[in-house]
Amino acid sequence: MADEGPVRITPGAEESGLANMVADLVRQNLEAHPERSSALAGLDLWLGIDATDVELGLTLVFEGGRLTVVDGILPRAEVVVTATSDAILDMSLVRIGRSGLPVLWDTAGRRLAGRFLRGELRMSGVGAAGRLMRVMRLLSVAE
Amino acid sequence: MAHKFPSAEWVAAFKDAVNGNPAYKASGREWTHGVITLVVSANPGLGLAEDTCMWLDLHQGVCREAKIVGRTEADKGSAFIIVGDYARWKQVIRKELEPIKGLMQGKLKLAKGQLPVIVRFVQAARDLVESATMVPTTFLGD
Repeated sequence: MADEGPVRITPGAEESGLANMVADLVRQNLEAHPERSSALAGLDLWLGIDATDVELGLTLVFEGGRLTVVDGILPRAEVVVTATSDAILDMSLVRIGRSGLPVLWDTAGRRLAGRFLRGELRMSGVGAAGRLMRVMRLLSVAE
Repeated sequence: MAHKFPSAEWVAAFKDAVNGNPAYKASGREWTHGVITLVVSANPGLGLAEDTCMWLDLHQGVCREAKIVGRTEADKGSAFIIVGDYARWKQVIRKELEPIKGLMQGKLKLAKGQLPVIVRFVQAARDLVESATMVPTTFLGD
């Protein structure tokens, strides 16, 4: 496994475009916004992402101040987000407010909320909501 | 008249299509991030001996310049480089493959540039594709 600072991709995931996208998003976000590294520090979560329309799955393992991207959804994943690739992209377009919570009253936020309500974006393990907010902060590309 | 893809004529027609697309003018209004080059990988079987690099100087909803350049110039002057093989670009132009989805599936690769910026302009990318569909196109091998 290549050591690329706080974000790594396991050998099995290196060929996955989605895995590379997620790893690049987090890596480049941390470079552009070093203050977001606080969201990574101490975050302990195994998060599965199931992109239904492109039939790709991966697990984001947040442990020890690092993210490891693994191909496929591992049984240990505490939370699994099931959505179309468009809905997954919409998650990264949501702005994160000063409180650390997603801003749901602007265009991007309303679109994401609409996807939740229509069942286009489903989530298991909602008990991890607080930690998910930190993941969204790491993934958000909104300025 | 239909234009062969890829060619200088196709790229020039694409520029006109982009600048004639009001949706792109709106969605790309905040794009100030530099040149995007789309690279069609070499495919000797289709007569493409080398990579074909389509240089798009996009700025605030306008395509200021579009041209075919060599790989060295593309690597040096582009802020973003997206690479795919001929079949993938053909799918993109036919609206069978969204570029961002293509990146997710590994069918297209971002060889240079900041992914968060590209993702932020996902609608502009869709509108660029819409512009490409307006160019009468003939494909190699058809």
